[in-house]
Amino acid sequence: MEEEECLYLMISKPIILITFLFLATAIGQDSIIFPHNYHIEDEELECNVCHADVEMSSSLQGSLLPLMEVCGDCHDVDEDCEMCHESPDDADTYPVSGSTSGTDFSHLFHLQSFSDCSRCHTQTIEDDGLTPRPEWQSWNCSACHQENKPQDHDITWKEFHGMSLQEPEDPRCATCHTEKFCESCHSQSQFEPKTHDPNYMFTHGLEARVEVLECSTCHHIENDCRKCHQQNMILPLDHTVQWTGFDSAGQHGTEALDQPERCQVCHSSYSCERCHGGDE
Amino acid sequence: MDLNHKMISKITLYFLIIISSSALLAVESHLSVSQYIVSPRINFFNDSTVDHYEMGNDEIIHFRTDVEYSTTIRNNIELYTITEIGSKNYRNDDNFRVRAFYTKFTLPELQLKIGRQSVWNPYYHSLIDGVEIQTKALSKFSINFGGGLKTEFFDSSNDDQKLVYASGKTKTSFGDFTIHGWSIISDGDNHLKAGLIHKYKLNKQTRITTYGSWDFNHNLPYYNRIHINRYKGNHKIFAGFRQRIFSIDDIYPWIPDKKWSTLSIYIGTSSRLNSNSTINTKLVNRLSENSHWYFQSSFQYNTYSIMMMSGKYDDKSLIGGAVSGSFSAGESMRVGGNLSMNSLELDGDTELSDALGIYVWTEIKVSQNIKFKIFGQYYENSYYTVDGRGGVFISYDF
Repeated sequence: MEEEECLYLMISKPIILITFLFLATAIGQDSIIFPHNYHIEDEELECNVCHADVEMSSSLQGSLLPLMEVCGDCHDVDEDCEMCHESPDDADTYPVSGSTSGTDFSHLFHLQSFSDCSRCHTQTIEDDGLTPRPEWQSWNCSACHQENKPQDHDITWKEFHGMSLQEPEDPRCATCHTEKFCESCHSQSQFEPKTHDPNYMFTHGLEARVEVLECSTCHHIENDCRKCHQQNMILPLDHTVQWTGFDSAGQHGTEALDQPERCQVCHSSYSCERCHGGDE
Repeated sequence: MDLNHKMISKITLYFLIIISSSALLAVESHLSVSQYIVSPRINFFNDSTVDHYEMGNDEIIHFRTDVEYSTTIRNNIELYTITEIGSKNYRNDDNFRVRAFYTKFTLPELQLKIGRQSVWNPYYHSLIDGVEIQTKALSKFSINFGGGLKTEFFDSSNDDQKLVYASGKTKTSFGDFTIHGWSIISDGDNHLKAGLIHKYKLNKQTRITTYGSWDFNHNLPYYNRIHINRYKGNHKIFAGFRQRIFSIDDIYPWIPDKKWSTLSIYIGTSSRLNSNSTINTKLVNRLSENSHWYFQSSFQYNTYSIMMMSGKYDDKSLIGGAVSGSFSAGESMRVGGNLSMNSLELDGDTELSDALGIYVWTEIKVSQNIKFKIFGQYYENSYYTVDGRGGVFISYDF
């Protein structure tokens, strides 16, 4: 019952919070009426006339929207408030700062590859300033990046991508991938072999000995190895009759001194003490 | 499947919340559903142990349905969830599993994530019920904290471990530095570790990544690694070593040297021969008293590949390889498979153990959003002896 209550609490709290925040932020806001289509098509203005900093911007830390002074180059900003402000009496301070998308982006880098802003800002040219402005959508990125992979996604990316993810939850990944994509390889309850060939059950012992830390990328060594080997009574293939010989220590003594971390997957100290008496 | 009253309530409540939040608040939403049905159940375990996990001896079908749903509100609030309804198995003692269920708030200098979420970190990844805060205000700083720690994303067992993970990143002219500190709190014990990662571009061709971390409880290094990449045109050579201290002195107090470490060195190459072909090789050696080594080489041409591997440990040697490939059979159908064969020479000339693994599949794309895949697996080795199964995978993307 306790578990059930926890689940209900876990589910209901975020939802209540979402509802509250949504309602709180939706009430009484000013917004700017700016017809992009008129300025681009009729006035034939280039984007950088207003968005002057874009070409040199390598991140979304600061705002790339123009200050009101820029509007003042053509418009009387002291008199004609209603032309741009939807609620002049409750006018907000513009521009709002920075990115809200959670993803960083270098305009500088992308504009070196192509100079056409509408390649990403596809709907801006249709923006009449009256209908709600199209919000930035993640598919604007994935439209290109599903096909044109980033430069570091080379042939060894699959093997070494973990090292490139230096920071927690690198926002670059979320441009194209959801968590489920990560889980599709980084979880073990797969019915289809995702990262190992069909014989891996048979061959994994070698790789586990040589590169046990590779396993730990996905597997919790202390738990996962034990779950299979200990609980299901599956002996490693080298645990043959020679493993503990009647007339000698067999191979296990050497192995135990060399790789005790391997033994501890299944054996506690008691396993040793049972024969060795706890003194050796 | 044991769909009792509590289970039905949980599932109903869960989907009610998802649907209502979507209808009331959503600007844009995305839903994908995938279903696996496999028979017979994966049963390489000894039958006598099946009862122990309450897997249900009478069930011959193993199924799983994954639902992934996300919705965005005002471009800065995101609700994301992955849930799973499926057969019980030794890892999952519940039919209904929530793998992710969080709300993410993105503010100009701050990102806040509340709910059940995965923690992806270079040093540790897991699943927690908690909070993540990320800010760019002071360089880049992130902290995760929460309870119900799970090391496996499908694990539905109860766990009272707690995790606190903090990291900060800064870029300098000497490369990027990330500092990590994390603690797992279990039964009142605090297992504290900290690490530093340094990425440095020596020149245009050479990049070096260094890991170093410390286990404060055992006062020992925890995980160290150096990895070097050197590029030349379409070719890359890489080398490095990795080492982790396993703190086993609590388990085997009689072992004379208690500071055991696993040190592996590796070297490899990767080459893009042309737009269709790549070749990769890797040689790994573990520097232990009984030197172990492992070699793997693979060649890919379009969607076909061949892999050869060999290795040696103690007196045992393993050889083998795999071929795999896939091809289009019409506009909406794709067929593929993988065949693996290996031999293990256990002790010199006395024993030879062989293994065979076959995996075949056919994928049919019914429409832009719906596809299904029929697959079969066959194994013959000393774990399974002889075993086979088949299944269907269906995915819908809305």
